[in-house]
Amino acid sequence: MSPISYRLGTGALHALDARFKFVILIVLSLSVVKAGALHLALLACGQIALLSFLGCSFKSLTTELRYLLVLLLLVFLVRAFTMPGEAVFRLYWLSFSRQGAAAGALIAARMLLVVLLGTTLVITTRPAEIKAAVEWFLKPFPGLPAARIGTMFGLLLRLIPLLSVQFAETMDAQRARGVENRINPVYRLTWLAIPFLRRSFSAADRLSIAMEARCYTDDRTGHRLTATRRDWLVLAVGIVYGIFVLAT
Amino acid sequence: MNIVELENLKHQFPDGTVGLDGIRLSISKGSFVVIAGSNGSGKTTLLRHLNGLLNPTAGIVRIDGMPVSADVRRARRKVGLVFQEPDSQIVGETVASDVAFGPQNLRLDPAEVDRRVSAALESVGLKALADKPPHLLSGGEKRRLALAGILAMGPSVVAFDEPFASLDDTGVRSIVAEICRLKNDGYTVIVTTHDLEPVLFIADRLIVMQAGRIVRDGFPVQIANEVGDFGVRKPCTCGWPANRRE
Repeated sequence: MSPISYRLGTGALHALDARFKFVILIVLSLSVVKAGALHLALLACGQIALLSFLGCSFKSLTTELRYLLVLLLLVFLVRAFTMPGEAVFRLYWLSFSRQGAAAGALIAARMLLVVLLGTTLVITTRPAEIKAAVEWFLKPFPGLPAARIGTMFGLLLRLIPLLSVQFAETMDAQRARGVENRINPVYRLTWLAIPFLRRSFSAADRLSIAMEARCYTDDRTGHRLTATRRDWLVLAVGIVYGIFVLAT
Repeated sequence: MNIVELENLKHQFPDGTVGLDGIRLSISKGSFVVIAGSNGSGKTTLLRHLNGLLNPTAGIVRIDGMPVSADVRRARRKVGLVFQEPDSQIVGETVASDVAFGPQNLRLDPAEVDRRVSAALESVGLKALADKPPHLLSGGEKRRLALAGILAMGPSVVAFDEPFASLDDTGVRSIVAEICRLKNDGYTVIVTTHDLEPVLFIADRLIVMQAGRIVRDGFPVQIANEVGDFGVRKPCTCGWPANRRE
């Protein structure tokens, strides 16, 4: 099971209205973009404590986010090697600067923190509530099919694990037939992508027929979202903290 | 009283292939009918006409006296179709949300949706897994979940398309038990299969199809000996007492 998926729980975060969680996520993400090292450290500690409390294994989370971590490492290195400043060491004609490393680490930490905030939202919110919240936010925009977008969002969450299984199966089938003997990455990618996409589109076709068989319509009973005084209180605290971080 | 009536049903696919060729068939309420045939014989095409997923090229399909074309939504509510690959049918992110999908499409009151979800999960023995992601279920559990999703819509007819495909013995037994329960509860059950063994002695009627036509129709144990001629594996239990004597 993916560590970035809903976990059953009865805690305060689980009980919070999904719409409020979305707003708090946006406010905190915006404040993280402007936050300094101290606030980032505080938020990171809070996030780590929260995720461990929610039973999220950091080993599996690191495995799940491995490609993102590689990307963040690249961001850090590019920043450290391209930003002028006091040189720590030189690699050929490139200089690794102290200021660049600090700026790179800050950017990487901000991006990672936003992802961890999103992970917390996904872990503590039922997909049906996320779907209902997306629909609720899109409703005021005329011309946007809010219900259909909400359904697509829900299907996306449902299909990600299935697609990853199909991807792994296709990759194994290619390996079993010696694709690793081919050095050309374009050749390998082509032979992986074509069967994978064909399988995915055919699965999507079957899914749409099954939805039709179950009377699918945009105008359907929605998930009930109810806000309580506690939701407003948590939202107020989140907004005040966000403003405080932006102001300091 | 007949709940399903097909009159001279014909279906031709866009590439010219004939899927169904003049099917005449009536299925009485509360009966358990098995439709057998080799791959491409038209079993799935036939099932998809029962709830309007496919439209006939000619002929008429009536469900409980009313043509499917007159009210497709009613036909889909009356005839629940359990697909061959349950992964294609499961749309919910959790077991409970998947079962709720159909009742929500019927725009039922949220309390009624919850009641139906709970009852359907209880009836197929998946209540304890209500919050589990469906992709973590076993093959048999996924088929039972697909069935729960259908039962929550309150159908009169439950049609299974190849329910035993790629299931282990435990999975097959659990599906047979569900079929027996549905039959005892008064549902009309239609099963397409090319494995007659699990249902031979519990079905009321066996229909054999070949090239879009009905080639045999009768009491299962009386015609099961002939199914080998039409690309269906003859059940090992056929002629068992005679073999034993030999």
